[in-house]
Amino acid sequence: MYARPLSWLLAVALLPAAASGQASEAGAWVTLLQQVDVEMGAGDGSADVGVRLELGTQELGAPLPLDVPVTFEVLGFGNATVDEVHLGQGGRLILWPTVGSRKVATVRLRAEDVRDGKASLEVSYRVEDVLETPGTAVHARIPMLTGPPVRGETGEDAFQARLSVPEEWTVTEGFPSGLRASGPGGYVVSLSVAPSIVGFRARTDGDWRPGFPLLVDVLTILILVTFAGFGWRHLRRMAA
Amino acid sequence: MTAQMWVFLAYFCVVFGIGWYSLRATRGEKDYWIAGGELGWFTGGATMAATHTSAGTFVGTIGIMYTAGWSFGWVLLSIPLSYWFMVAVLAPRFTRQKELTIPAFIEKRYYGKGIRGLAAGIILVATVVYIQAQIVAGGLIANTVFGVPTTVGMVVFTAILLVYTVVGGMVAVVYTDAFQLVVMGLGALFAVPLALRQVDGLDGLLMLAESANPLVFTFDAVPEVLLLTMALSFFLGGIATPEKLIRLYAMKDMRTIRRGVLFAIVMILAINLLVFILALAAIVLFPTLPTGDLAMPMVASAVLPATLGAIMLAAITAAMMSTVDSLLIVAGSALSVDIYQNLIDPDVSPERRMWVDRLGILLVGSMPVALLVSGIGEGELVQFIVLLFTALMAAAFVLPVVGGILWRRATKEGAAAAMVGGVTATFAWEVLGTPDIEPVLCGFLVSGLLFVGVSLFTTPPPQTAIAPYFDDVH
Repeated sequence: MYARPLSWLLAVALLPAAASGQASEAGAWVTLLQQVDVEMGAGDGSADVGVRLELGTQELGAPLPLDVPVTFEVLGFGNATVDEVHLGQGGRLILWPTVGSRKVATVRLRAEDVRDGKASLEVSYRVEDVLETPGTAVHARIPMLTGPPVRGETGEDAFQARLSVPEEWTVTEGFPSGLRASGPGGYVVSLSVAPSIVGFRARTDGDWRPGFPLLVDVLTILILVTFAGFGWRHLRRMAA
Repeated sequence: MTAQMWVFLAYFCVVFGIGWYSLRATRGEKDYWIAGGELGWFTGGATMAATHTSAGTFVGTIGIMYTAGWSFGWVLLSIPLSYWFMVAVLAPRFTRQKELTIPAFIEKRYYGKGIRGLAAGIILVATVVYIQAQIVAGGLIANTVFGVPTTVGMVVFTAILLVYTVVGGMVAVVYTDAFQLVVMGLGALFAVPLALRQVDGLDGLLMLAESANPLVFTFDAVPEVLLLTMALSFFLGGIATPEKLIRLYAMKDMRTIRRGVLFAIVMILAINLLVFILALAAIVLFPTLPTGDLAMPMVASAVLPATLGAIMLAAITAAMMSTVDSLLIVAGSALSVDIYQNLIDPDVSPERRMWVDRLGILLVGSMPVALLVSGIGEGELVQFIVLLFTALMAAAFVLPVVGGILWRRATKEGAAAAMVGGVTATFAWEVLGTPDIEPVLCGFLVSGLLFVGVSLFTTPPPQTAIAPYFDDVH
């Protein structure tokens, strides 16, 4: 019954993917897992990023499309951008500017990259100027290299990141917001899809101050409780 | 228990509390179906805005804007126009005689019980399909938040809705709608600054969105004719869908209706504008989503802090619930008042009527979930079912309702032909027509031709049928 709109939606859904050169039709690459390690240097405001990717296809068990190049892209945020990445198998990959701050690169995987029906790829890159430092507060945004879309609605966390910052820093806000402490100077987060950045706000003097998200949480609860209180009084009067 | 679970639990406790107090405030059928017809502008406008802001807005609109860009935003500008038409042209005559249901208006204006049954049948079938889509989305959220299987989520979601709607009727619906509107508004309002903090404010967002998807601010992603006919669908659906029209009966007087509808327009536009910004933020922050429908859940879980994120997911649930509860009222009244009490047992006692009303809602509410559990209707997309439902309702009811109060010559036969022809043509276009044009155009044109043509060729309506709407109006 809904064949017409569904076909239209499929066509529209493919537009952004087509714009980035990788349609997510059957037989195309999908990201199964993306593990990221971000190491923040305290002094020079740069970050070293290591990425391990597992790629496969939408249909489990389908042959891998080794003849189709994998497209990677990165969005630059302010001065923080990526120009090249180093491949674990040797060599480097230049990211070419497209529109605005978006850069793309493609890589063709080889048969020796395939194990257990999945293709693995390791890359690393360095991002300069990730820190904005107004006083003792720092704000960092580290662009993430994103590959093909994740396999549709698996409900699993396909993106897993570990962030290391100097131990004396106190992180007050993170993006993705689920960023949580894991050991001294360590923070972890996982999501069902890869974000375009991993970011955080922190204090370098070790003091704890409530971050903006905490203030928003408290304000939301206060407003809702107040509204519920007024509503309850109104309904009681009506019922009486 | 996680923070998300606590938030959902607190939310449902509030909803049950409202249902309980609404039961105590319901003293008869008029209270049950149209909240006594005495609603003020805030509750009346809030329930209208909340009913409009369904899962289609929080999942579908943001999803389409994520994939197709901002051109879809222009479509939604037809919505305030339709509400203006409703309050300026339709409401003054339509509300002269307050009825309990829209088919009851059809019976009075078109002098026949059969045509009332026909209207009720169309409402019943269309709403069952529509409610199914919303229930599927509710099941998916329950799966995300509580980790229960989607089917269990759908059954629990329906059970919660049925408890407070069956018990409290329209009074419960309007007060839960007002609460849900606040929840939705807060969720969207706070999500925007938190998202903008990641992307250097609004200027940074616009620049980054264009970098991430160069088509985002162009009209290249969706054919213009499709956008125009979608706008027509929203405009016509906004004027005369039964769940919105019935709210005109529920408000106190014309002054209240004007203020209430203005409030609804402001709220709908504000929430949509916030949703547009969140769609752009999702394009920048999550450039590789497998489907646009995941944009809002990702914003809720990765941009917002834990409590507000859970409230946002509750808000999406709230959006569905406030739409489904309103449709349950409309469909339940179609079954119990317009079909059972009108055609099967007109002599039912007033005491039994309330039980029949509640049974009607229970039956209509259980039907979609029963069909889904049996595997019928799974896997459809929310936003397109919203559009199809809107097109069907527009094709069936706009001309009989608007024409009925503006054109004395409109006859019973013309209205019946318009309803049947409009629905048939909409379905036919949906299945056989070109995908570049929304089916509402075909349905509305066929409905219009039949309405005018058949009315002119049949006996004019009796004076008793048109007097309530036309006397003293020049």
